[in-house]
Amino acid sequence: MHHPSQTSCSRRQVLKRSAMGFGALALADMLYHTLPAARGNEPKTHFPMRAKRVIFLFMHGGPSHVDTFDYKPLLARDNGKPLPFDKPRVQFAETGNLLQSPWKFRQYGQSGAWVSDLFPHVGNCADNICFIKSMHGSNEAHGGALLKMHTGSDTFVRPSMGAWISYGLGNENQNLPSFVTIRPTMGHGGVRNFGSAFLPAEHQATRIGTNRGPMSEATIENLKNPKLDYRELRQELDYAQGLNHLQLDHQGHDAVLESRIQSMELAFRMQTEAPEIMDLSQETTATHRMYGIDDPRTENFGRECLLARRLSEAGVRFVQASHSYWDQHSELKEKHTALAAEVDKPIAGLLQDLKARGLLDETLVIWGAEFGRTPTAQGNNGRDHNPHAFTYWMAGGGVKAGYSHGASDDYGYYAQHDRVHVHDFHATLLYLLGLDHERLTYRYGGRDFRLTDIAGQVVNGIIA
Amino acid sequence: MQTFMRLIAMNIACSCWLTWAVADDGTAYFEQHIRPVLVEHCYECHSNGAGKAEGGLRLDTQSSMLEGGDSGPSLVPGMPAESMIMDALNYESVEMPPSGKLDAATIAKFENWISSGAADPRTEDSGMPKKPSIDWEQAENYWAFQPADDVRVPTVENAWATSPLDQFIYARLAEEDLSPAPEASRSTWLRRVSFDLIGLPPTPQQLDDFLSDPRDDAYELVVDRLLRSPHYGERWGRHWLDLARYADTNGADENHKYPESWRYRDYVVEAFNSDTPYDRFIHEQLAGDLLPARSEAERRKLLTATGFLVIGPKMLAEQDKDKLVADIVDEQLDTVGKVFLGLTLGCARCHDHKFDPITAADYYALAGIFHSTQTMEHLDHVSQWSERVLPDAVSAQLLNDFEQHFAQQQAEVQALRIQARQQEKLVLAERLKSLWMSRLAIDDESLDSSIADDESNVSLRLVLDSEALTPWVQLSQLPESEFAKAVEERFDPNTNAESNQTESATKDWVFNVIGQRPPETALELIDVVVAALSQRWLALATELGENEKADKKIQTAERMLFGKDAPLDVTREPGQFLPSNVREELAARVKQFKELEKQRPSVAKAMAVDEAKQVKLVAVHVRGNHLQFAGDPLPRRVPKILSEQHIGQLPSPAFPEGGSGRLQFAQWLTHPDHPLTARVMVNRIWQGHFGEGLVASPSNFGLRGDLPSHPQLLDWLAAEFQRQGWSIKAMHRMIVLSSTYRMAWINNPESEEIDPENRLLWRQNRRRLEAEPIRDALLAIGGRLDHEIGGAWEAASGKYVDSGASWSDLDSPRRTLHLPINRAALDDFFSTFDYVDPAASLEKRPATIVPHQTLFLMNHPLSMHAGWALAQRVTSATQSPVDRVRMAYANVYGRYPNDDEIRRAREFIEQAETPSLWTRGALVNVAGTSDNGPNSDDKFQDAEVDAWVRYCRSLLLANEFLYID
Repeated sequence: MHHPSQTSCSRRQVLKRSAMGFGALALADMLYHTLPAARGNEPKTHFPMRAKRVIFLFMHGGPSHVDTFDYKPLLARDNGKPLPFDKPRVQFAETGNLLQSPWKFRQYGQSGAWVSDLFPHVGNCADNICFIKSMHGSNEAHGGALLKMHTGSDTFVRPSMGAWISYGLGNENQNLPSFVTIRPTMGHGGVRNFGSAFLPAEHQATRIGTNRGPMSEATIENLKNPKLDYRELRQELDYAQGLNHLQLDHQGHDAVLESRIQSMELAFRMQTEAPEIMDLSQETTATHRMYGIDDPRTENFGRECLLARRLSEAGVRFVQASHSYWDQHSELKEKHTALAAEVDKPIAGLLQDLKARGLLDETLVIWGAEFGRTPTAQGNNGRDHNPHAFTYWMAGGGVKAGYSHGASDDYGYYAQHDRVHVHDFHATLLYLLGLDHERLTYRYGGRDFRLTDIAGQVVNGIIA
Repeated sequence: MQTFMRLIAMNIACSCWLTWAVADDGTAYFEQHIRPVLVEHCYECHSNGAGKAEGGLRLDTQSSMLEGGDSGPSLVPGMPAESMIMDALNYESVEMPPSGKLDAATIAKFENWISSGAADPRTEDSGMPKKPSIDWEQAENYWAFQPADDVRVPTVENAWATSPLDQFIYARLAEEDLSPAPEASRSTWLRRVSFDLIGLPPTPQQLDDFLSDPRDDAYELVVDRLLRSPHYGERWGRHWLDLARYADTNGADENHKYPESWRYRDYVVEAFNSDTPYDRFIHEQLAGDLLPARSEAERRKLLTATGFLVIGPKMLAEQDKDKLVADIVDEQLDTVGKVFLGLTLGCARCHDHKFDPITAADYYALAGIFHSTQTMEHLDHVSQWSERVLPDAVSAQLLNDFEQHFAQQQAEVQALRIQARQQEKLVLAERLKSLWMSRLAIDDESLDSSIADDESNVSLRLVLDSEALTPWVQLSQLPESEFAKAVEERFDPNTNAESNQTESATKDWVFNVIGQRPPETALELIDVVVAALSQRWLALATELGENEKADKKIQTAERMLFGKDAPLDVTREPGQFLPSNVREELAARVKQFKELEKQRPSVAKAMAVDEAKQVKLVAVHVRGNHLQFAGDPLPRRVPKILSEQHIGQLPSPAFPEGGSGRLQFAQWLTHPDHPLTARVMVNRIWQGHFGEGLVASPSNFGLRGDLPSHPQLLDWLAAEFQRQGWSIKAMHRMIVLSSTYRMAWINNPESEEIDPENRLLWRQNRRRLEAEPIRDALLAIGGRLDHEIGGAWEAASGKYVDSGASWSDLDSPRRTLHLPINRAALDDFFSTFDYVDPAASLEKRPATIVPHQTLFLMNHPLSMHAGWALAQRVTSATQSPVDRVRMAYANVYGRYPNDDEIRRAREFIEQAETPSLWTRGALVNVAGTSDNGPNSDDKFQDAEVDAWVRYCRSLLLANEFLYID
């Protein structure tokens, strides 16, 4: 197992470290407490860490790249004409001729990035953003594409990228999980998109809500006792710990039981710390406004973004905030308008906020989906799935700001120049976090596995 | 066709170029056009210089290029169409170079070069190791591929070793100067064996009975009781379901519900309870549909057993159906390989297995069996897995009788309906026409298109923003002067781009009508359209006849007028235009008919496979790509290393020409001289009792798997298993009564120094309970465990599971085995306690330690209830604090406390701060339980009981509850 930082606690590993005994573990625990801030545990990495944390803004359903960040003037010119080259062998649905974007594009900032009128607020942040306009994947259905994007495989059960990152970097804040997903979809692969598969379970995401309920009610399961307060819980825990120690005194030391004693303490600390972090009322009215929490349209995703910042700030390695449901086979104009309005301001608020707090340099913000959409029309106001070209953007830790990488063809159907496959994206993501995608491996069922399977090349062009 | 054209093009290129090539041996062309491209675009990943051979492929010498990589030769001189490198350059299979497709001219040069013989002067040997090839001789000698030895039980002069298996263990311990730990106490053994065999803690009564049982065979009697218990099948069935990747939804991309999955689960539980011989169990699951059945009941069982092959996750929405099928076969093959053979066959899908002697050809030869098996009902969008009707003569007769009656009723109701409808249409058409006439009479210039009929409370409205009318409304807003011209343009079929992709029959028709007489003003436009509509309506009403359903034209017209995108919006209830007596009679008959429909006797179905219509053999898929094949379809055969050629006494199966060969494959698996099947299974049974198998990688007996800690014991057990008629229960009995199993967990630093992982078993392992026994124990301790076994999962949960939604029914009193396993939205509880992913065969549950486990035990309603209910029982049973503590210990830990523990308990009770918030009753109830604690202050004001509640909760939090020693 090539693993840069030792964090997991499988029975076997515990046994191998059992010489440390209880004392050493207790000492480690004391050290956590003496750290001035919760953050600051630097893991050992393969490369220098260009980013310490990731916030992934996932747009479930597949926003249309040619209507948002991939400006295609020829699409307007040739509106209504047939696509001048072949469509792919496998398509999700039949599409017709080219359909121009219903939205105007304009240039933003010094970089002059073209952004459509769906994202004026994000447009204003363009000088902080690194666009990748040549993303491509391989699966044309939501489920497969979601799994491909999140786990690198649409064929096999594999750990999600957040789990790999948790496994590679460990916790930054010992009182919080290292991977959190906010309001994920439970369809299209569901838990597998944030699961740990064969990696130790501690690397799976802690889930906050699902996309079904409002963000204001989303919480971590079992975090709060419905009937007892912390003082009372502490009393019970103390007694249980007393029994645990009694068992150890009686039967002799056992690394596994000692680990669980630690874990019970961590649970208690999480129980006190997490609600505090999840309490958005601690933020100022100005901050709430910046994220659009004061406006019912933007409230949900505004809360997601603000919580993402708070968790990230507290040291959670990988926070995913999801937004549904960008699947406009029809009603493209109406629904994309409404959906973009829900996220545009919160996203810009997040970027501004991170920047103002000096966190943007060490936080990598990623925006993207499972695929893009076809430049050809489905009906007369819709677009089909398109895994052959779509746009991702990143901002912050380690990527060029005000930069655009790669290109799709004249209409946006296929990624054409400097193509970036999902595997390449994963390789680059790990690289930015200081991890070598070829060396971050896990031995399972007799073979070493990695996030990028046997593929993936770091996209050097986007690295600052 | 495309290939054909390419071949022609190639031949042309070939013949032209050959004349040129005569002057040179071709290397000049290579140097000029090919080498620079290889250096620039390929060497980075495929050359000695870069130290890389991605995909096993190097492109920096002629020989390595001809030899190729994992997928085979990269080029065939003279045959570009057969050369993989051309597919890669053309981005037809793999896409190379990955940074972007080369320009067409460069690719054409590669084609030229290969056509002309691929001259290549690069001969220097780089000294890089060649692609490894399988050393068959060495592979043959690998322990797992050799039939089990006839092992002699070691003679051990020691009273401890009471059974042959103890003798093996003792002999090995003695070699390392280790000695076995002392025997565990009776209570420790009882708790261990109860959880091990039935997944439940012993009841206090069972504890007392056993502690006071003076008989010599007290242990044997306990084991007999447990093996007879129907809960045994629930516990060991669950182990099997882990291997069989059992779930109640598809997961993968489309999380469809499996309404019949529970039948397979119940089959497995029953198979364990009835101690179905393991060889038979394999035959049933792989080929039950092909086995003879003596009764309908047996046929049902045998069909249900093949659910094993169907229950895996599938990418139901995959549009590339060839890929879908290849993936399904792979999933089956991978599972079968891991579960029965302990081999990772799936690794050979894309290339020869990297470690084991399994070739890609082995894989695709086996794949033919599953390609010749029907796993899917259809491959439409969204695809549907196979379910088969379970034969049952009684139900079939019932159903037949019902259908006759039903058809008769249906015909009658249908006749009434048609009659009424026709009547209604006529009324409606008349009404519309007269309304329209009155609308025309009002000389209103506005565009309001609503016309209302107060009399019948009907509103008719032209839907101006419907797809059909929108363009016309847009036109109507043009200035008068431009209108006529614009209309003309619209109707010129040569310029009208939009008519190329008309959306619906409605639109066509509206265009058609208007086209006959293009209107000149907006108002006129509406008049024309509506007049035409009412005309059409009348025509439609008279056309309606008995053939209503069959007549597509009429259906289209219906849709046009009433459908979703119709230009005319009629707000009405069905039958609104009918006389009230007709309407009511019809309604009554329809209601009656719908009631009848609900009473249709159900036909039981199970997820099951069938033989495919044809035997389908497959060729090796290059790099696993389902569109690229190497060589001819392969005849079915078992992997070479397990064939007769290597294992003389194991005859290779002859696969039938007219069938999948599943049965022959299953029978081959269970041949007495098969080196893997019995070993793999006894190892799993061993793991179920010690936490680790003798081989610690239970689904991988290959070269990268772990070596057996006790190879001879493993072989002896495998042989004994077969001698006992493949009886799994016989294995349990032997193991749990052995001295080895009965050892205590002890702390022994010296032994730990020698064997830190306890691979030699100098003590029993301490194991954490899995998710299911944790929850079941909480239910048992809370006194609300429902002991019912089996049944459909709606019945178990009382809920329909929305395929996309998170689902939780942990509060149900049913055993955890019966909770639906929703692959895409698996309850957090399961993943918290390491049952993480039901999508793949699971060889062993990990036992991680994460804080969410403590949060669950501290705060979840289920454990809240268990602590509360136990305290109620304890305090109402006795006033004596000592007896209360003893009772609590018996329930939670399956033992009685010592004096120190009693003293501590009393201290806690005295010092606990009470009343707690809970007792003060202010907060919410425990969800989903009936006797859920304090609903009101008067019910629960006793501060003393409150202290006991919190004491019992503490017991559940402590380690001893979660671990078995």
